[in-house]
Amino acid sequence: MRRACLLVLTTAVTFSACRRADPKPGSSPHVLETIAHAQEPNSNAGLSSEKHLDGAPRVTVAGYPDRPAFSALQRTKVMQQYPCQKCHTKTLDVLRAQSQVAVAQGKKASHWNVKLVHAPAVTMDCWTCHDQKNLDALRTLRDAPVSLDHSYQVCAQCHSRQAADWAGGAHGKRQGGWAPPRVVASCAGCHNPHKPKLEPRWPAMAGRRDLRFESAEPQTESPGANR
Amino acid sequence: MSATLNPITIPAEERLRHPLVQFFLDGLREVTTGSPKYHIWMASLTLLMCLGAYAYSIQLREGLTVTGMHDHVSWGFYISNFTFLVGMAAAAVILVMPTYVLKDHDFKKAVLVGEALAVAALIMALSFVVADMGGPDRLWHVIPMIGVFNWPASMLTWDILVLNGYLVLNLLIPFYLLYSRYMGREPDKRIYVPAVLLSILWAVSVHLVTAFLYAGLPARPFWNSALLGPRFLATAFTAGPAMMILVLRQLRKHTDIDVAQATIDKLATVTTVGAQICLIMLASELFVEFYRDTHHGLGARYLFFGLDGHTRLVPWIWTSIAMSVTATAILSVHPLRQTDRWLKFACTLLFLGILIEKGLGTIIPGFIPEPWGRIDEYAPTWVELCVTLGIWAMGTFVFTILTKAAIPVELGNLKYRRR
Amino acid sequence: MSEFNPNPSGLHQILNRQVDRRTAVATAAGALVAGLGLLQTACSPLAAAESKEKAQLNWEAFFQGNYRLMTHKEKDETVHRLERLHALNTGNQVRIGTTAAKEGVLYGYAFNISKCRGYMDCVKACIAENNQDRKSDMRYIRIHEHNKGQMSFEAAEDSFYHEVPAAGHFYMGTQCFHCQNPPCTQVCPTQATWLEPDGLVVVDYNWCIGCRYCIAACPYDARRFNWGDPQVPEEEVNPNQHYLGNRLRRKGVVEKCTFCIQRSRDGKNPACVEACPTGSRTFGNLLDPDSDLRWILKNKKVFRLKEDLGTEPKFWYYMD
Repeated sequence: MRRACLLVLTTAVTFSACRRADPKPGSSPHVLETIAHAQEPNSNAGLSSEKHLDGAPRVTVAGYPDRPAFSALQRTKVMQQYPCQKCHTKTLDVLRAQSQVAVAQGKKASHWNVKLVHAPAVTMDCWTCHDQKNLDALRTLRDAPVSLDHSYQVCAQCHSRQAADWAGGAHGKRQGGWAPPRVVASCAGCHNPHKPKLEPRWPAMAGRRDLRFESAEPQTESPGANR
Repeated sequence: MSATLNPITIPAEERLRHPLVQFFLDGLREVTTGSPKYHIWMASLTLLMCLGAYAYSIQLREGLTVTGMHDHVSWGFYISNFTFLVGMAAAAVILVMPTYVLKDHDFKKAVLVGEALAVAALIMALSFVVADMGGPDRLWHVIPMIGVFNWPASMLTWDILVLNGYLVLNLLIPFYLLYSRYMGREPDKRIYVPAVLLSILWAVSVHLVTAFLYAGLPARPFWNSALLGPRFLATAFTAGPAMMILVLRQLRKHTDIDVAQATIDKLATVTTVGAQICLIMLASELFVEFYRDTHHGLGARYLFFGLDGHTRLVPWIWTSIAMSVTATAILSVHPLRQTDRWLKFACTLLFLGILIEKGLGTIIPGFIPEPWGRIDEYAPTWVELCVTLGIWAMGTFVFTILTKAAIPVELGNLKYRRR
Repeated sequence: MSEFNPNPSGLHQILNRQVDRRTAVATAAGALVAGLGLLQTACSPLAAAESKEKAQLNWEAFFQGNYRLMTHKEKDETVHRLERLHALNTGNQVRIGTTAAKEGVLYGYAFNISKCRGYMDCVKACIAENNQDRKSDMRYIRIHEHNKGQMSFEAAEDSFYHEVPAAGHFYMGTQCFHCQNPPCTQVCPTQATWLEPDGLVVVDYNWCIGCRYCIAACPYDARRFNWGDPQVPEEEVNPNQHYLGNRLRRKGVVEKCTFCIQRSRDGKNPACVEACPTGSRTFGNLLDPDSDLRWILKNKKVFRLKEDLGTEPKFWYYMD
């Protein structure tokens, strides 16, 4: 029996001297405790998203003093028809009259492709957001002008909960990467303001069917996808 | 050394030959000679081994994709067989215990056979693990001191230790006993009794550690049960003696070895008690799994009744249970157990029943359904079946040569002679 | 060797000796291979020096040690060898990084189940980014289509292919949760998989022996095995790689999601986060109190899957 003990002991000693890649196994603090201890501002090891942003034009977001400063992609730099004054050289009344004539001749009205599918008509029409006096800008419910670059301020009037999530990080698309600076897409970067609901569509690929893959034919292109 | 006693009569070549070398040469001669029946037997085993080697070469070339395994059933037939065989190895040696602990000499004849069986089972078990590896060429990574050995965290490293240690023990003890007998010496009790006691403890630990390999994984509720280890032991100590009874009967028929009826009777008693305990444990598991249907019982539900129309294992497990119950019933009736024909029948049933239960009903349902409830069934392919057959043939081959060489030594027919 | 080293620690001594012994064997064997190669070259003049070099590199790769035990120099040599082998095999250049974990960073992930619509853009991006085997249709991410009214994964479907979101259903993605107390790394017999200091659970594909114990131990179905030789069309190979990430694997080894280590350690978001058109996926540094992730943990009602197992996943779910 003593022999047996000795053998077990020798084995234990031999193997505890073995090569290990991890000198301190089992050191796994509860992740929430670790998080709770991390309250100081963090430099993120100096990592930066800047090089992944490719110098994307952006504007500093205003109105969220509780959140560290962040930016939204600048809409007016990517909008093809901006500034609106390119076409809107005459007053709206004149343009409307011209449009009616064109329609009578069987042509398409200007902005024919814009159909407002956003809120009931009793709540909203074009001029709830657009500024009749200055077509290059938007307006708030109290008629204060808002630049198209800060369109989120217009959206936030009704969608305050989504706006708070957006400012916090639970809604919207982060640009560049996770590391600072924090740049996010503006509301209109993902949602069409005239028809904000995302459309149903076919998935980019089918779910994995049969794991014994000889019989499975992976489908990667969806019939509904147009890319 | 002893040659100096009588230097004149010994030819030069013989004088150079150490008795140890002579021991192995005699053993080699013993295993290479025999009746035509013996040669046919060995040739068919070799043929099966070649078939296994061919199938394995395909697996080496193509990868494990030629098996029926996939990401959701990532261990299959190989690991099932491994589990069963570890049990066999453990059970074979546990028979040594009555001889040395309880001083019950009816078992003594079974000892060498038991240890040969253990060696064969261990070689098979280790081969199954190697066959299951994705990178057998990288196995050196797990060798202590050369690779990185994740001990004590990984139960697999424990298993590597206990299995190899057990193999060494089971080679050394019979070697010592046989070599002493070969040299006409009485084996020294102070040497082999502690070693035998150690191997008995080791036998229990071997199968427990193997059970812990699975039982320690909360990811697989089907295995994550404290009863898994004891159940492994119970089934092993049933299938093991049952196998021993069958083997001893064959040896009695085909060799000169004298196996007392008392030995067989005692083994039959062990088998009976083991089989009864197995059934109690099975009932206990079934109760816990099915009294309240929970998600943790889905693996058992799949095994016994099928899930969502997937019923591949259902006929097998019920066959196995029917076999075990019938065998236990037969064994529990004294007159039947003492009838040679009935005993053979019951032992065969029991062995096959447990083989099916361990081979299909233990490992695979741990993976079905997978952790998110998806059911992807598993069936071994011909490559897996051939490799399995080949490894079993190799084990049988090893067992045959070990017993073939050991029996004449044990009987005193083969002794060291200086001619 | 160690007598020239004045005061190495016990561990270091063992390490140095091992590496030296292996190097010695490798050198000896390499010389043998080179000799054979020379013979071959002498016999057939067309047999290029390239094949000789390839054999030499493959041989060295065989004796390569565990990545975590390598010195910086060894790591560099290792990735150069792999890059060179890829160039010799395909004629194309890949860049395999060895960027290490950085102090003050612990990666985490949040998933908004109100937003996910089952578009599967994440899965597609993941496959392309991480050079996953096309033949076996390997994926790290699963999107589960749940029935409204219950969150039963058993009742959910992950092989759907129809217009989404489907009425009466909601969607939820699973992948590796990069547990802070991972059961998979604990069971690995060779420490071929481990938790990095920045919280990523990674695999050394050259050290893995393919026993698949980790797959059995993972309660989240996060790990994948290369059952056959992985196949990625050469023109689709993502050349921006990391040793512990998306470099090309071989048959017989386990792999998994690394939160796109080749991207995340460079400040980028993982490919799935970037590809998601709904903004369901948020990635970031858990140690930065100003990160999006921390805001979500603080302001949303979050939950993790199978928290009762004590695995401490760093992957949270929440609703709007």
